[in-house]
Amino acid sequence: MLKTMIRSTFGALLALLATAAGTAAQDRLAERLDSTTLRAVEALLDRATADGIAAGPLRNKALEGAGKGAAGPAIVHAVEGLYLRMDAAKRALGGKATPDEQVAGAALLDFGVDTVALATLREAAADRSTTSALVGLAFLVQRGVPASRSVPLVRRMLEARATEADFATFQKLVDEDVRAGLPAAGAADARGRAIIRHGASLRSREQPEA
Amino acid sequence: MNHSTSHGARTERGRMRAPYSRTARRAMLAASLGLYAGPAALAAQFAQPERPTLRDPLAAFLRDARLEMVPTFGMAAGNTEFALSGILSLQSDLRRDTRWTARMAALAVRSPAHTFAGAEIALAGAHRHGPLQSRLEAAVHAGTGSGASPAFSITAASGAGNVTLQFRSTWLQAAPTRNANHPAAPGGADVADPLNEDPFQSRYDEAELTALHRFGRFEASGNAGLRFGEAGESSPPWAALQLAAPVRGNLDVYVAGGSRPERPEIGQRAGSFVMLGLRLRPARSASLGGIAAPAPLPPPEPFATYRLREDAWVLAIHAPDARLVEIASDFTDWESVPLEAAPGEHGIWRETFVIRPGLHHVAIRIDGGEWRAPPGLPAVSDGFGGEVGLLELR
Repeated sequence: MLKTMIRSTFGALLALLATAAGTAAQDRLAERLDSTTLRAVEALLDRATADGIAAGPLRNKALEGAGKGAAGPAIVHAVEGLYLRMDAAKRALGGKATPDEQVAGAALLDFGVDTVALATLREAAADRSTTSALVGLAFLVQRGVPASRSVPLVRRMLEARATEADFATFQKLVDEDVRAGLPAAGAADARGRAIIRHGASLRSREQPEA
Repeated sequence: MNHSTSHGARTERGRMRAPYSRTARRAMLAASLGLYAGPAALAAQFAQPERPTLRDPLAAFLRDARLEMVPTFGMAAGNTEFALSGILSLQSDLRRDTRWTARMAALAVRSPAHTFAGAEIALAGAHRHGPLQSRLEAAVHAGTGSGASPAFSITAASGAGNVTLQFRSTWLQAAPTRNANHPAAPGGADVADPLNEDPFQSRYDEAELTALHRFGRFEASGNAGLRFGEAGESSPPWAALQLAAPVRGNLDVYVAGGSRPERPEIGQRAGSFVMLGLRLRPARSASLGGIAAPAPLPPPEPFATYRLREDAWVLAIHAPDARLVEIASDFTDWESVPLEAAPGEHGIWRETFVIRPGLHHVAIRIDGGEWRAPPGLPAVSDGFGGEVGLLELR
């Protein structure tokens, strides 16, 4: 009896907290958006929740638009666009894709990377998170490394069991190389090979080929 | 570090009469160390960028130990003087914008007039709040040699940038000497030694304004102050200037001159002085009893993040030509937040945020321009004609 009461109370408290958090977020939207935009955004949020798409990033996109002074229709358009890309990323990455994976996958789709590439990386990562790899891939693509070259590299890194820290280091070092004037593709190949070869202990600083 | 002696200590022709009593010694020590309580030290409190703190408070406190050796040689009121001081300071950034410092100093002074050796232990807390910096310090002074006597002082300082105003109260165990140059003192150089004959309150209060300016490799500092109450009657206002320049490595040279206040606890008499000194920093952290050395600071990155605590991250942007740097992100509810210019670090702007681990969209704006992705991050379209950066924090 007592245990049941405790469980019930605990569950009620959790529900109350979740409701409060969601209510707070909704309140922020209501404060920032006009009624028409708010209704449209809320409809998208409901649709996303029903489809298993994380609503948080969509809500944040609406807040971002409000913060940047975008018009209501532009905000709705941006939220809807993100929702569609997240939905496509979720399908490619599998039903268990986390919100961060959905967001990272949506960014890659926006860069022109196709869903086949996302599925390839999901397979290479097996049961591990692909967020860091997707962000690393986005970093390469955005710096002009073609997807045809960067996707296989990231896949090999995943197959070599590169960790989140490895991808963070990889991104940092490639960025340094690019700022030093080296071509992004060569820098990515060299740094990626080092991680694949040496794993987490990235000791060598191979000079990428020109 | 300046130490002065004065002909005023010669109370009888050809013979020194308690030239530097215990109070005189203390005054010298406090004056010497007071230089480190000036703007340079206060600004230096926050010259170091914030680093990740350690969970162990003691380890955090010992993380950054510094040793300085300061020999000086000069002239003051016609007397030559050589002094050597060593200062060991330990500091800790246990909280953002708050720094605790423990300082232990030793001082040795030799001149034709006297020989003195003293020590000081001080504990100070400094806090930065916006553009203002404040510090509270308590110090205990002691010494050997003629006239040495314990003293206790409390200093409260506040400043902005490189200008600092400080107030100090010093309690002396022994009665201070009276300035033999005091106009009320009869006979000038022939006046009887006032120590123990004309004792006044065993405490003095003073205010001092200090300023620091760096130009190129040089550093110029100045200080001016005055005493309050009865102590103020025996010590005229003072002003001094110091110019320092690096020589090589850990060696700086400086020259100082001006007028000095009377500091009874180390026997410094009011008067003019000129000093030449060296500042050596032979050791830091790693060579001090095995205390772990902090990692050397890397050159400024365009955009850097590092964890301050469990869920607190410092975001730093290098924008040397900016007047205003703002950041907006999902962790700010997309409200623009201005970053603070890091004191003592030209071009670094930073702020601390509570951020959950994971993936975030971040944008920065410089001088009210367009929102864009921070350098070094993958930049994705924001859907509003601009871009945002993808930042992953683990």
